[in-house]
Amino acid sequence: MEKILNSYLEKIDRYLKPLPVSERVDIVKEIKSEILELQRNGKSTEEIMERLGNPKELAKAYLGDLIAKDTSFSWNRVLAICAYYSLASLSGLVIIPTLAICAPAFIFCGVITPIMGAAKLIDFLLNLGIPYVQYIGVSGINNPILVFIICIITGIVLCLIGIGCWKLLVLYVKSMSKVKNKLSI
Amino acid sequence: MNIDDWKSQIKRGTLEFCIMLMIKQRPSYGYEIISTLENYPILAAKENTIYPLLRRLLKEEYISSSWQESAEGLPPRKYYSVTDKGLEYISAMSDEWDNLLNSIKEIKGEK
Repeated sequence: MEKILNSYLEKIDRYLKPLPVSERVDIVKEIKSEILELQRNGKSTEEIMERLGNPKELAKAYLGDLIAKDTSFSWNRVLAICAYYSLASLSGLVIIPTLAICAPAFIFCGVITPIMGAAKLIDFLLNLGIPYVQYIGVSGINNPILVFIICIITGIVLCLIGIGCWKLLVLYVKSMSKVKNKLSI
Repeated sequence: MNIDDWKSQIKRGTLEFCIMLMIKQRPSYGYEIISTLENYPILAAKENTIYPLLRRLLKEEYISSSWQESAEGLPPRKYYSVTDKGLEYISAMSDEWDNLLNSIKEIKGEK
């Protein structure tokens, strides 16, 4: 009994192939919910099958809009798609790699800078004489405490820029895919 | 006389209005909507009509949906509720509906 119903749902899923996965999952889940509802009301598998009808027909009903949309050829749509891909590839060529490199680089520097500042401060306070620490510094400032404070501020600013780059990247990708969905390519 | 053809045309035009009105009364799930419509032969429609129609209303943002994993052996249900845009849509449809009824009355000579 369960087997028949499951294979019914699988068939629906297969016929819904042209739709995005998320939509497909949702549709199948909703039909499954109704099947469970009918079972709870004491309906037999045969009755449920008869009520829902041929899986192909049911799936087709969902695809109805999509098919109608695709067959109606329109120059505006073609132009919109061309414009979308031109813009997406051109901007993607520059924006994605730039942001993808900048985001981790800024965050990395943002973390390293205060650590360096702290190293110099500790070295100065405890008189450790750690090698190469003398190369750490902010030009024109000799006081290690001041260097440390500047390092902290710089670190925070760098981190914020890095996070900003990352957010921009996510925003860019999201908005691009949103437009893509709207064009239903 | 083929009244069925005419009835199905009427149904096509009014089902959307009726479903919106039902969801406005209270959030409902698909099977509930279909079962309620079954009580009215002129509106009764099958799954392959209602679900795609609900999907279209969702896409046009007249309604919104949320899954509720109801407790105690009940299956999860997808509840639909009317959005602000949907309320505007309903009131526009109501106006047109009254308009139509009044026109029919007038043509019949009852006014």
